[in-house]
Amino acid sequence: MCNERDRLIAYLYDECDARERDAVREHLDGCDECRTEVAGLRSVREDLLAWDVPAHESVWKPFMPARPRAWWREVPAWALAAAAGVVLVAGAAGGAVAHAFIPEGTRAQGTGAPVLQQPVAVSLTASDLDALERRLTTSFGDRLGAVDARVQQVSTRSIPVSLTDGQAALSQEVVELREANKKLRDLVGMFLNNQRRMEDAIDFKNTEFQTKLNNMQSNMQLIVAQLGPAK
Amino acid sequence: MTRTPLTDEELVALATAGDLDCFNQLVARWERPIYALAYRTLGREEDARDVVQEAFLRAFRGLRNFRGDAKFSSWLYRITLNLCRDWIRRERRAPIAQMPEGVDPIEVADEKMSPTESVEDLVARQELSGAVARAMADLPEEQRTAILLKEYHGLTFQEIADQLDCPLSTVKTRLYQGLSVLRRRLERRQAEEASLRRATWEKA
Repeated sequence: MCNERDRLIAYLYDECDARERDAVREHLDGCDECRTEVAGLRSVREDLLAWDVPAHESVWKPFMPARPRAWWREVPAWALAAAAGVVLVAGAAGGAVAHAFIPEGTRAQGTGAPVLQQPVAVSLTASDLDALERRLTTSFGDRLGAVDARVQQVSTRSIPVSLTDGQAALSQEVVELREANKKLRDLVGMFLNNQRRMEDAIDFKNTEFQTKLNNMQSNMQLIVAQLGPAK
Repeated sequence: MTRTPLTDEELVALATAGDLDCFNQLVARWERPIYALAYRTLGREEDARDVVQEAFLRAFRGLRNFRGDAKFSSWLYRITLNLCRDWIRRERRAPIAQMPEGVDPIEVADEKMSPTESVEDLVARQELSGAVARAMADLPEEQRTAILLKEYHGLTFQEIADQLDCPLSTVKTRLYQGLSVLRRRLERRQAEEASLRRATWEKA
């Protein structure tokens, strides 16, 4: 061994400049011992490649991403109140349906305006959801019943004498039915919108909770680590 | 439209500003190498899993203290190596080389077989894998770590020196000594296997 370990290692891992590399090569040409040494080290490095790491599942439980969908945090309170007012007015126009979208606990007492600044999920329980479902069924049931009655009316009406008259009457019915249909669709849209917001609120709470939990866990682990192993 | 992926350091900045998903991305990017380092250092899957989880938790908690003058990966490696060192000290024992829990080498061979590799080659590779693991487990800690960082993580001599807080020349010496020991071990194993094969053949 020519006491050249550092140079051979740098050469082996190709962490030397070109001049150094040439110098080592030149040396290897004339030194059997070092040549054998480098070849031996190369073959060990090849063997090392065989060492597999077993496949494994991720150990990380991802943080719930803070999504831009958390709209109530971006929108000022007055805008929310206004929006809530719109929902209420729209609801009044369409009957009591909008009223049904706001869970009992979140409706402000006295003013009749729903308060949406707070994530609604806070007070949302299974029974709230049940009640909501019941109210929606009743509300929608009435409207569906009305449309149904209309259809019945049209289909059972006696055939008009004049075909033109009949056509006019029918197209009038069609227009009315379309309008009813559109109203219904708007209501469903509003309902879905509200449902999405509730889901958002629940997700947001979950995220918050998960983050808190993660923080608590790591705090705990740090504390445990600081306390040292149990005696 | 493709966007260039964010660098680790950009993700760190965003995560520090509160974007938790950016930290998830960092974990996704680095979990495999960190797990590999922990597994090869400790030799046991469950311990490696614990260390990986703890390493990322510490990284997350320490994000604000992370200074931009180092690479995120270097910082993560350092946390991981410290945890492994603590673990070895706490357990007061050397790392163990074990076959992955409840795994049959032939089964593993089935899964990992590349189309050009024969079953015999694969089993041989599995055996070599085990032999390397055992030989590495017997190395002194500082030699083993230097070799791990060099061979499986591609760190430069300087980066290894920074990780181990030692001079550059010490890193080279440790690599050299470690490789030489491994070479002797693995050559002896090959010789033993060859004589075993000869013996069985002569018996037959």
